[in-house]
Amino acid sequence: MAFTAVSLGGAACLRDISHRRSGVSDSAMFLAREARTLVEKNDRSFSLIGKRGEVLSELAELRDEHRQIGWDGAEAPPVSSIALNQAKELVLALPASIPNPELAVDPDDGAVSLEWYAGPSRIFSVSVGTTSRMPYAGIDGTYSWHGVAPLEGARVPDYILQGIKRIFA
Amino acid sequence: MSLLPSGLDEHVEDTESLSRFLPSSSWIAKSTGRVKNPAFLPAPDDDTSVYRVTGLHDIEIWKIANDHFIDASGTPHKHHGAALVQAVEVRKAEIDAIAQEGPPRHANLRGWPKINDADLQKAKRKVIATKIADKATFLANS
Repeated sequence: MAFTAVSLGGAACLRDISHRRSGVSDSAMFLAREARTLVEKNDRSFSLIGKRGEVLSELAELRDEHRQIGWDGAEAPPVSSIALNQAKELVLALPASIPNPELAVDPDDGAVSLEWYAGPSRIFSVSVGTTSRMPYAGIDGTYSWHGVAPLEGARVPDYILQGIKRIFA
Repeated sequence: MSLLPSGLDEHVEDTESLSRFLPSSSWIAKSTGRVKNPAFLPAPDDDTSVYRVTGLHDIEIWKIANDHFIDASGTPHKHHGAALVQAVEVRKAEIDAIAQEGPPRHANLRGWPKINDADLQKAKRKVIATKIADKATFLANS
């Protein structure tokens, strides 16, 4: 996800301009309008990072604990930086209404597992590895389903959103 | 009926309790102590290693971990507790628990689906691992 990068000083300046109503010229009004848009985008970005901040910290912890081959006491491959980055992108692309996932590392391929738990037998999970395909699985009572979704960068695939929403419905 | 060196029957009964030692702290939900699905996914060799622990006290379970859950250098591998699940739950998820000593009381969860599409194979395995983890209980390493 591309975030608007605004330095603290720049942000304060933009916020000031965005609140100005005294300018009467077209240019002044245009600048104020653009500044308001930037400020709103910036605020949304920081709000989203705040909600996902705990998950992003967990990603760093995963990297530290699973950086060696055989972290499982056998032959598990290490978690890769590609998998961690792709998992981060997916987390940041989640709509704000979606709860934070719980993270883990898969022992078979070092993928990052994102899991949502809505109660006993109501679980949805997706594994983010080094490819552009994400295996997912869900159980909802006695019903279960699985599939493979494409990794779509700044967009969360519908299959994933539907799976999460199903278990929390 | 055939007995193994440990004295256990070769056949793993449905009622037996199986212990999966947890080398990753990420396999346990911090807030609830729930066991997550990667705990039961197979290793690259397509087996999920477990121990048969029916009737054992906690201290005996941890002794198994210290004696046999070892890394390549032969030293006990760090673990964060154990996931306990009945063999019947493994079979309900349509794989099996097969005794394999080696180490006394050792068994493997086997019969994981194999298909050509690696990602679809993983998805199928995740369903199974999720079903098993859903029925497992976490035993903290005291």
